[in-house]
Amino acid sequence: MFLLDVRNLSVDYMTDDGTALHAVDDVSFTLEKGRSLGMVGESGCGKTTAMLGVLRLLPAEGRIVRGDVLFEGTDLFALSENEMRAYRWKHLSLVFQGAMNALNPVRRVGDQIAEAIRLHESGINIKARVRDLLQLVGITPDMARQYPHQYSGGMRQRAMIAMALACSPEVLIADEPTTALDVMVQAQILELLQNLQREFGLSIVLVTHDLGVVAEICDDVLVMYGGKVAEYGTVDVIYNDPQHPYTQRLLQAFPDVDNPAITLTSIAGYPPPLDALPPGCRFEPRCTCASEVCATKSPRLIQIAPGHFVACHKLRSTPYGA
Amino acid sequence: MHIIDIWRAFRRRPMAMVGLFMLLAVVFVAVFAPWLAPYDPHESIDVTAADILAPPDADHLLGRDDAGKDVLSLLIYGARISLLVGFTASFMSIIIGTTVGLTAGYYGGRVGNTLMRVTDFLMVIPTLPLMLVIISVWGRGIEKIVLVIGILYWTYTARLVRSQVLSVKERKFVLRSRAIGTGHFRIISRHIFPQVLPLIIAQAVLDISTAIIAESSLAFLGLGDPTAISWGMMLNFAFERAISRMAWWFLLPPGIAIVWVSLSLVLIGTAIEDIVNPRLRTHHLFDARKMIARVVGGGAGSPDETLGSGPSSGVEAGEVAG
Amino acid sequence: MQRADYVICKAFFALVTLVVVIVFNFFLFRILPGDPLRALIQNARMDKEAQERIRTQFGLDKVVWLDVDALKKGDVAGAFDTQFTAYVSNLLQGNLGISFAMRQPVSEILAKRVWRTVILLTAGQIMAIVLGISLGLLAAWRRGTRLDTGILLTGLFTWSIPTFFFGIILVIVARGHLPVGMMVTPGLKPEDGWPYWSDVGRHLVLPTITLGVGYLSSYMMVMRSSVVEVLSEDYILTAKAKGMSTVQILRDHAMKNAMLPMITVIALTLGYTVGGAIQVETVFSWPGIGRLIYDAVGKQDFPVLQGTFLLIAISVIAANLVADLLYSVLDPRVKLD
Repeated sequence: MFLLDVRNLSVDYMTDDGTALHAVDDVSFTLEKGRSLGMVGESGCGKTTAMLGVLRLLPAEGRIVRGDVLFEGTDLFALSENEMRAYRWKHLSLVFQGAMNALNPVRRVGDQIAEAIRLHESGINIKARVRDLLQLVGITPDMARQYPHQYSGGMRQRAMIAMALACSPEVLIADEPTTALDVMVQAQILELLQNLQREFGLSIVLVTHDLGVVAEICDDVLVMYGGKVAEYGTVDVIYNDPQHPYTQRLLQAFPDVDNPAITLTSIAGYPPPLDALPPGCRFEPRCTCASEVCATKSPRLIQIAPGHFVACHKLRSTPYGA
Repeated sequence: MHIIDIWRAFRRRPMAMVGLFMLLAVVFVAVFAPWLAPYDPHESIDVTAADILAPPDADHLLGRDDAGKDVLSLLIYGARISLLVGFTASFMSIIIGTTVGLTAGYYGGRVGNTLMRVTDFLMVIPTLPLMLVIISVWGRGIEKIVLVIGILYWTYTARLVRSQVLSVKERKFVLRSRAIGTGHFRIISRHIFPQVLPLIIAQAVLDISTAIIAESSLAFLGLGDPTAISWGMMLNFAFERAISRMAWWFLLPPGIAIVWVSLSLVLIGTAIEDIVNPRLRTHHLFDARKMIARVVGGGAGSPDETLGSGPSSGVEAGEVAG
Repeated sequence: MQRADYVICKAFFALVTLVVVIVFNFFLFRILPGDPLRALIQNARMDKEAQERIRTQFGLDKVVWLDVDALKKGDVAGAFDTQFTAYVSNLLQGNLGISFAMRQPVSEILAKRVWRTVILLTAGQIMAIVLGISLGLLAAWRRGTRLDTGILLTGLFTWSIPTFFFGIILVIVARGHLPVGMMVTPGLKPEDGWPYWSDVGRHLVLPTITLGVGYLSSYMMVMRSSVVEVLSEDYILTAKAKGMSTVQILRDHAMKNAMLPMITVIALTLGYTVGGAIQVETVFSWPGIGRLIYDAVGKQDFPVLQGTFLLIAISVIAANLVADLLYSVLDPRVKLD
């Protein structure tokens, strides 16, 4: 049984005039205990929305229009709001990007961590646990009495991670945890996450646009484009044998430490606006190897090798199960 | 935003249109007062004792006041005074406030600081007692009232304009203008002022309402202009002489008229303010029952669309055909 | 040490404001065409001695604020022996002059009546704050629903009603059911104990409602927009993600953050608060300093006007200072520089 099994998740945003924007369309992935997943894609491709959807934390305009999310077999979408609350943080916790305002500025950091503990656990020494958590992420326990604005950016991010671990969840969803931090701090955070994976067997879902970070931390990669899954496979396969044109271009745009002389190429154009999605494949307008069918028909996600899934028309005629 | 856009958005709001019609009704009454009023309140008349505070009848739809005059006519002519005071005082306070705000915001530094200190100072002093004291000493007169209101009520506008200017000042198009050496006045008038204008208009409308209420309070407390009977003055007479007799026809209509005008202006003003400065904020604390909009039973779809065991196992779990 | 600097800075500004008010207060009454004090002196019915007393006390025989001739002669002390100095020194001794109409020292009159206004203001403010905050919170939480629109419209409507007119309406409506005039039924005294205070309480009902409803709308609208702002912040989403219920989030995160701007608003509207009290005391004949001003305006009793205005201004300045300091204590983000 999977730790987390997301099946055909589709999320729409309702606009003022009643139209629905398809922000996430038919996204599926699985997460096993001890393995970590990287969700990659450009800003606005729907990765954050998908994860907010998993936890039923969408904003007022969000609608989950299709799909199931099974956590250790339980359908999270079939639960009442009360029941769902018991799952949040205790089993699946969240670290937001830009923790600037993710912590309440007028309450002490230690209090906010303690609050998380009190919500889900009882009979433990909260103060001691808070100190332990802060120490775990490399923050002096005395800092618990300070306010968020007294922390540096990196410290705030680490405090958020400490808070996310307060109830020993099985899954940690980290949304762009290293964006907007300088390189040194990024490295610290990454190291911390790796330690957590090793020591606690924590499964991390890392939402990011930074391929370098994914390579360090994750075992599997889900590449998203325009709200849909473009490619899905292990880190090895995605980085060494990418099949989707978008994945390939993404990797080309990424500096290779072994080959620093190669010119970096960017992908021309912009991601599709949600209110004017292309009728066929969403990447078609920017794809260099698009054919006629790409403009009219949206490609399905196909397994082209054991554990390697791609949604692209040019792979329809692969020998594997064609 | 252009005036046309504002108007179009305005037209779509029922409350705003209601306010507009209410205001136009009053303006109509004020403009056509001589034709609408059954009697001329300036004419001296012969009154008998029975005429004093006479209740409504066929000749006098709203009865007669403490001097035997027709209340309805006084009410109609009173519209002229109220609107006159409102528009003039508001105009004055807007001019002062905008000038102060523009100067303080644009030039900043010592000038800005001093201006803001003055603004703060005026904001602290309680306005009604100050107005009472000034008018008592200076003498009655409608021009004096307008002047006093105009000189005291500009502070909010000044702060508003200043903060707007501060944010507009740093925008690219302004910086570009300065880089090429455009003169200060040109920058202010052509770049900054148009950005600030819509907010000023919204504030101006609200200020008219404030001015009308301020004048009516001054008049009620005994400092109105005896040659210009405003609604506030009618209420002063009514309160001092009619309250024991419960002459509701004299006590209520002027007050209702004030509320009518104020409410209309407030509806219009808040609508404009909303249009020009929309606070498009999302909202995290709402009834979450609408979030899950998936069709019941339409969960994961047909088996051949599942991913099987995902990338890690590499097992031949039913291929996903196109 | 930073906090001390902040306090000093704010206190200094308050002091400057106060000085300006005092100077303004003085000059306003001296630039009168037809100085009423002189008119008082020349009152034929007053005997010579009384006239002399008033003349010296107010220094009316002296120059207004600076004796330039004396200065030219090198007499510095004499240069400042002016009406203004007399005024200020009187002020510092608590002497606010003598009421024209009541022939009593203004400070005594004020001392007797101030507490009545304080009772009224406190009652009205409590009602306005409690109702304003609750309705604002409710409207923000149920933003976009009909409840929200209803509350907003009610707020706009009450804002448009002049305080005194609302009082008049209440007088008409409640006459016979609740006392509509004065503070207490004649005959009762404070020494009577409970019957006295409960009677005062009954007399307090209508004026309090009038005042409360008057300020309600601004508090409600500020609270609403403050809560709306707070509810869109990331930390609310964090709280939700932690598994907190709506009520818990409102109580533990939204309220405290949303209340901070309220302190600023309450301080800023203190000036209008006083204006409202003047109107309410007039309509309900409540014998506080608001009613005193109304009577003084009618009788052109300038010493009373001047003294009362000064008292009010000082109170409001002081209250603003307290609010500033309170805010700096409550909001940990405030930079104390």
